[in-house]
Amino acid sequence: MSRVIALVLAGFLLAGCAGGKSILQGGSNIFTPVQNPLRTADQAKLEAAYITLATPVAAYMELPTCRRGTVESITNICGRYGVKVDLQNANRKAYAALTVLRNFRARNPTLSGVSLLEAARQAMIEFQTVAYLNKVGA
Amino acid sequence: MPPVALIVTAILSVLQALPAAVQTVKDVADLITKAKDIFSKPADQITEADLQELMAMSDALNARIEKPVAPPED
Repeated sequence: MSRVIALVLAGFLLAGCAGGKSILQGGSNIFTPVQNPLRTADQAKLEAAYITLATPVAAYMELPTCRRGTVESITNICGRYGVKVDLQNANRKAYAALTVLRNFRARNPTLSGVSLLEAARQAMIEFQTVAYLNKVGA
Repeated sequence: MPPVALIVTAILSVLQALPAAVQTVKDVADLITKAKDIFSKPADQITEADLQELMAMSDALNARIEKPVAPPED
């Protein structure tokens, strides 16, 4: 009996040396630590996407607000009040989603934040849509 | 106002806005270039330091966007 237990233990140890994915992530190794599916690169790319969207928006927000009854033109460089408010609202959602993801990853390094990553991606798409419809940025 | 004065006023207003506009275009280009660098890097070469830099850039942009917007003047 003790030989069988020793053999099983040896098997487990050898499996640990062999590397591979954890059994909790569809692999065969019980010793491999669970890798967080939310990688630094995933979060960095989402931050980069936010920067790409937010940069032209920030430039638009810094234009003087158009006077009531006027529109922007080459001789009247200004930003429409309604557009600025819409952009701020969309930005608030996108940045909040980004912040939730950052905090979750910082506080739970071994838990999966994939659903939060997806939620943040959706918020970025909404932000992009609002900017696109208002002809701000690409 | 005579047409010549209108044209001069328009040219002056464009010239006044030009340096700020050029600076804005440069800032936009710099930020977008940094963001694009991240997309072109392989995932395993993106470090925690890259992420920290991007987070600081995101925070700064958010602060610029969230400045209060004054209602339009008449």
